[in-house]
Amino acid sequence: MSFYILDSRNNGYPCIYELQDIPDTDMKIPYPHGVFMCMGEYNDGYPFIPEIIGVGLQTDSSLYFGEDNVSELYFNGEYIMSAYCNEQEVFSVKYTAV
Amino acid sequence: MNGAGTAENPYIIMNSDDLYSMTETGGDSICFSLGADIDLGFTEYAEKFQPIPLKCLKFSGNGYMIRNVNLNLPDGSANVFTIVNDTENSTVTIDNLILENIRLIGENVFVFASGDNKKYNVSLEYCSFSLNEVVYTSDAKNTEGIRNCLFHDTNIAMDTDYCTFSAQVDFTKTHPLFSGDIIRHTQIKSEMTTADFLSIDDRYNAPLSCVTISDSYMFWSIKRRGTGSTVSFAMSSVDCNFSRFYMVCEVISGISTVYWKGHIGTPYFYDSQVLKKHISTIKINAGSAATSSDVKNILGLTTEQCKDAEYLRSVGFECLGAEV
Repeated sequence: MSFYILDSRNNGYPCIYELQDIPDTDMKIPYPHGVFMCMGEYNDGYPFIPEIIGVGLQTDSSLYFGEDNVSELYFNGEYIMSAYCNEQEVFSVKYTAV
Repeated sequence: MNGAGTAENPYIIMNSDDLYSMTETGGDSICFSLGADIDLGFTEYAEKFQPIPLKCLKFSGNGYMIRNVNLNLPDGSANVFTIVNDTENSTVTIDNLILENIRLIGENVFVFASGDNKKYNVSLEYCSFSLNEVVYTSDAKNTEGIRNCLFHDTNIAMDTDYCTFSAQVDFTKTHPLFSGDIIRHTQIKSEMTTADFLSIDDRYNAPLSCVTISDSYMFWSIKRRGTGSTVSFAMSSVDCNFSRFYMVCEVISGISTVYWKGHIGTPYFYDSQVLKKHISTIKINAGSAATSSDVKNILGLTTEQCKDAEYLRSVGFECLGAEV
């Protein structure tokens, strides 16, 4: 049997049990270079390309892996923008002018 | 690279240097495996992507991903992979690979291209490809008998099993997503925008062209940019074969009539409430080689019926539901 209807999957339409739901087509961070983005605090809210106007991805981290400062953090394959330990922010990713 | 290139002990690719060394380290009987996510956004290929050479028998993604491909060639062909095996008609098997953040702009756009006009086969298993932005800058000219499609050029035949594809595509003129392929247990989602519609032959126009597709489904939408007279649009070409397939399609603008062509072996349903939102006419198998059983097998159902396993079984579409 190939198809199953499960309320929590595929918006209720028949799905293939072995496959995860189809991802949407929105890009996931971190994005590729040269892609326009809209972030209200930059370029008066108009689309911009981060590399052109000198906006970079700055990572603040007090997390270490061995002796290396952690610059990217993933959980279950998802890129993480911030992490907390004992209610303290120990890792964060921000767009700032660099 | 660690490994020996055999099926039992493949070469392990850990970074972009390893990935692009496949031209030297690979071969028609060599096996590779990803040992980590490869984010090309943090490499020399971020600014200037080069198609990834595939020279192998098998490329296993191991659940890892290749991400952040950004290729903008408005006057050329933009492709993610180029197959460069020595032997014509050899097969490259790719499994458990994820592609994410893929942006391709070109006159022609492919996921797989043949490096030297040799014919190859590509077999995909348990792969998930997200083509987040695909833009065709021309009508991807198709001469008689030559069938390009989004996923590969005309030198490649593809088969898929347990795969997931999502694509956001902007056409100059509509163009197949798949052509000449064998598609099984696969889910497809596509949002299409087009400036115009190609009208010479449905094999060059319909999203599914000359495919054999089973145990699969497709969610898609299509709209026309700007204004123009509405057209009749083929959902599939005459040489398609369908069994155990359904489609949820929203036609937003530009199309007044949709029709199906192909051989429909078992009940094939579509969500008629979604399809009928903006169009006036639905035709079934308005083309040559239609048989009465083909016509009977295409069922327009309500959204509620589409999501009711018991109802689907009653019309011959095998599906399990809440009893699972």
